[in-house]
Amino acid sequence: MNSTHHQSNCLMHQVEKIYVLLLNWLVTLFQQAYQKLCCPENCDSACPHCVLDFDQRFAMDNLDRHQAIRWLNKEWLDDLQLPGEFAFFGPASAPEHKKIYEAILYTVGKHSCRGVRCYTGAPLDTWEIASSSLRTLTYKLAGQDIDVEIVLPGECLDKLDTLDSYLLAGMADLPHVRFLSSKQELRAGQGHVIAETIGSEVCSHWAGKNESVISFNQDWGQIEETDNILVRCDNGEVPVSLKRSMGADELRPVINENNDCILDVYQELNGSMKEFGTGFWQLILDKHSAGKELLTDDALAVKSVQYHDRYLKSPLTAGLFFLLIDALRQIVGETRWGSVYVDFTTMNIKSDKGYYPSSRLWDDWKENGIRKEVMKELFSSRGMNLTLRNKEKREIPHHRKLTVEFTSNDKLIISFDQGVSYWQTKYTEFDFSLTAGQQAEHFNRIINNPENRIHAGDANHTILAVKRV
Amino acid sequence: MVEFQLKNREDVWLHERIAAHTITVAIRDSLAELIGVQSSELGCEVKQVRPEPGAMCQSIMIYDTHAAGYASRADKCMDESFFLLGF
Repeated sequence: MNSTHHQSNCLMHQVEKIYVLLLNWLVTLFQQAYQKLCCPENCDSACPHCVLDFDQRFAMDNLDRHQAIRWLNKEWLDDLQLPGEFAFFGPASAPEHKKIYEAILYTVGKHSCRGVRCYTGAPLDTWEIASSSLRTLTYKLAGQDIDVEIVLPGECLDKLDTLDSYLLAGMADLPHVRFLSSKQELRAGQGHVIAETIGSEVCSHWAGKNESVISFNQDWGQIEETDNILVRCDNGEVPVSLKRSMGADELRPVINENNDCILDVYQELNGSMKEFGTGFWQLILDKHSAGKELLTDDALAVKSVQYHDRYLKSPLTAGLFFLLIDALRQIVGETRWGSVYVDFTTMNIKSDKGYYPSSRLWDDWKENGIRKEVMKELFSSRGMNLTLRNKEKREIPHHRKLTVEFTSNDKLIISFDQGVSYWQTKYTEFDFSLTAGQQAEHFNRIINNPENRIHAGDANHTILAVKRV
Repeated sequence: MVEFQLKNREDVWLHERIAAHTITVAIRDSLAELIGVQSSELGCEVKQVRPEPGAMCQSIMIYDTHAAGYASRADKCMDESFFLLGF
């Protein structure tokens, strides 16, 4: 088994090696081909001095170097080269044709590196640690016994919220994962250094042009824009930044035991979809006594309910959010609930993302209007009022946070690392062509079908940070 | 056999037959030089293909004419080329 795995890895490395060599080689091949087209005799179409070979003597009518040069020319060849603005590491800069994860894995194997050091930065309001590609990458690399060092900006620790600090501490608890703090961001010319290999004679660096490439979110290390390039350098001269090691305990948030608690939720809420909301609040009542006091105090009415979630845009997640709020209303009772408006803020749906038709409960609505109408109908079907605000991504905090404020001005704040997206259901068709009212009715029928169940998703668990302030 | 399908920066596939045929000969000759064989050892052709829905392209194909096994020796030839080129 191990031998097969080893052979498979060796074969993969061979294929990757040939691929990288081939890419460089192609540039030379096309440059030489272009030179062939630049006839030294400056002929009209083709001649023995350029592309008219003996074996092409009967194909003269199909040869015209001028037509060919309209295609294969200096401009086209320049597109194969690294533009000067991307030479972050000087002449040693080279375009990286792989995705950052593949590039790191390939390089670590090739040069027998001990591990990799990954850099983070950019404004903290762009961070989404829970769903970040760096977090996923860290788990993958550490799982293969590759050391991962993550460098955080020095000032970030004080500004991270409880949930984010808890996530980082959880990562630092893993073998092979270590956090460092640096006062200065590592730059290479105009580029932002994304990662470097460590523990080997050959040190490879990767950098990107925009600061967003080092933001601790799902786009970390990703170069998506067509006018941007991931740049690599092997053994180049890159300035070294001073770093301080940070242990998991330093990262772990300070918890006020009376008012705060962090819940790791696994499969506790698996069960009937209809009971999802009730199960959720029962968990809070059981685990968070400060929250229970607020929820069960008959003297306190609900003053406001707010929820922020950038990514709630499918009938399933909208429905689960609705079930949470409906169960909250049932726990506090009609009198304490009164006529409060549920204030929900989410991100604009990008209409150009509609590559495929939506047909399943977890597919996305294609535009803001129908999402808003369906959710309002859904809430009004249980006598609740909903205000839905659509905003741009940068205008919404990255936290998925539910805040319930009571008339005493006490607040119960629940932060979700993944929102309600953690919970999934079996394949369920949903008719997106129906009107808003009909879609709300459709969802209510799905809820009331006892066969429709909710289960924990692919992620190992989800984290809730519950706080009373 | 080696096959190329070229696209320009405007995302347009190479579809003019004469331009494609001429480029094919130029690439064939360059490839022969790079791997150190006579250009007559390598044949070349263009073939119209559909690289993606709604698009046509003249595909460039280069192959051994005498079954001499150059294609199967490609990795060795490439390594030698890289060495000469300093890669």
